[in-house]
Amino acid sequence: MTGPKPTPNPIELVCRELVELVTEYLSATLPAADRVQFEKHLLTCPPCTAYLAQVQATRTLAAELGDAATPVPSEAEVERRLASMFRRWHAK
Amino acid sequence: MNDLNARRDDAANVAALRRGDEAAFTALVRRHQPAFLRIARVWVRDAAAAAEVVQDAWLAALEGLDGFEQRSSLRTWLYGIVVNVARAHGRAERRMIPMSALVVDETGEAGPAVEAERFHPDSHHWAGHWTDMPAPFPAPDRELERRELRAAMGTAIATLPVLQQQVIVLCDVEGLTGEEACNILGVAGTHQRVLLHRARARVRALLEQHLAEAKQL
Repeated sequence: MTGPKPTPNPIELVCRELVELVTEYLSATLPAADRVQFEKHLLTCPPCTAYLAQVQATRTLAAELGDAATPVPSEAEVERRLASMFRRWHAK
Repeated sequence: MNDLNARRDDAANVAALRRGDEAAFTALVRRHQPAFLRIARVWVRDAAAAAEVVQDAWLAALEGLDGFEQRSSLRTWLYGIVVNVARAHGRAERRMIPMSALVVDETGEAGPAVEAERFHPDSHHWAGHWTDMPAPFPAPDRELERRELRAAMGTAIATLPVLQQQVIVLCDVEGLTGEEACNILGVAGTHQRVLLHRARARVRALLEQHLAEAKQL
């Protein structure tokens, strides 16, 4: 990135710091003042917005891993074995 | 399902198990088995060992049914049992490291979420800002690419240290809240968030790398 030298402001977040706060931001555990800085930074920073989108996409993909039915070949056999275990447990 | 409905549903399920309702048990097995296997797999060496853990966990759940007090959801309670059985099972495969030691190990000093080279150095007038734009991940309608990426994600998760693996599986794959994951693992909220942060950062980086390599082919 090139352009005019930014005015140094010790309160403002830089990208390198923002990426470390993403999980706290997404879990809504970021202190209010930091949250404001975080969102203010995003407004003017397309790369950090893209980074946040990547992290969100990672979460979505993970959730899809959970939703995707994982067919187990011996499913019926497993169910049969568990059901007979259940009957033994209940008979006790 | 709202909280009250979920609680009623849990109570009905527990009552059905107590009276020996096999259909209710089978329905529970069908609903939870895939998640059980994914959770167990974090702690043991292969799918066969995970299947064994899951069967033991179901028995442990039935034997311990009286201990379920609805302080948590039935699902969270069951997941906790799977984690405990899987950890104990893992002992046969490797030394069982206490949870507290794993936490210390996995939340201690670590590298940054994104490699330092991706940001301008301190000497640069854009110090700490990105050197280039992170590339977008495939959109939800690109099913073929996403399927590939999910497979890459499975591999990426498997490379994580065990607690990070467990936290990302519980929170992002199975959709539990941070608090539920903390209760299951007996770790503090701050530690859970550090573990999740590191896990997501590592998986994101590996997916980005996977996409960049796929693009070059």
